[in-house]
Amino acid sequence: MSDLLKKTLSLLTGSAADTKRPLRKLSERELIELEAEIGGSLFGPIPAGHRREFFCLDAHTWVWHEEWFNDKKQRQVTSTRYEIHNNGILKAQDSKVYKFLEGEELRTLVLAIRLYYEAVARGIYKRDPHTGQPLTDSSAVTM
Amino acid sequence: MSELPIAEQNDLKSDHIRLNAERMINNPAQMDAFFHNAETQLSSVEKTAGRIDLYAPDVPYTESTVDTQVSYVEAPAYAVEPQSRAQELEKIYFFLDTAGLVKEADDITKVVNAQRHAF
Repeated sequence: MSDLLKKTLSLLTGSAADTKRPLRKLSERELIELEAEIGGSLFGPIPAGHRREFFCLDAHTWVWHEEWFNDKKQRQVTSTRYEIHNNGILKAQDSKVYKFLEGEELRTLVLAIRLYYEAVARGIYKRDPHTGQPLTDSSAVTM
Repeated sequence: MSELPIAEQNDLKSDHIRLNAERMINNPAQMDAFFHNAETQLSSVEKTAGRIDLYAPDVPYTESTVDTQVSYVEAPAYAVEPQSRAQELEKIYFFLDTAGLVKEADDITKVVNAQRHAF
């Protein structure tokens, strides 16, 4: 492709880099905020007045954060960390209670992690979660 | 399956576990596949005459109620009622399922993190 044609195409569609990596100007923190918004919506409707976030903090940690106002208009906050260890997933709620997840709670968390990955891969990074390949226009609308 | 509400997926998974435990009874081929799968998920699977011990990695936090070892006695040495045998298989299946879920969560978390860093 000639340079002139490349420049023309770039003017019409944006640079090749912009097309392939539309979020490259976002910091890791901003990406986490985008992911957290999607993550918070995975567990059904969010009650009015609540703010819910669920996100992957790093390669070993997930966070559930929820804020709301109670009947006395007092702000309530619950923060839960899930730490992934080789021998289990440790849950720490408001930095106090530690226990390994099991049974339904473990199953629900893993399902949420699976759904989170599928949703952010498609919704933010525009990747097929199964192949890691960029989504085509036809596959992007199947989310 | 991923499009179902989480509660419905859990119901399906529980049914799946129960069904598999029931099917494995009196089915040597499925039993072999089951323990082959166990060997890929657990830290150790020890087989001795008529008995199989499955070990998960040690759990350092004593509050956990998850068993770290279960045993299964192979037929024909297994001399208890079929119902008890089914319950034992369900327990083993649950044990393996837990190990599998933790591994899946670990794998996906690493991918999510790498995907973010790639941007």
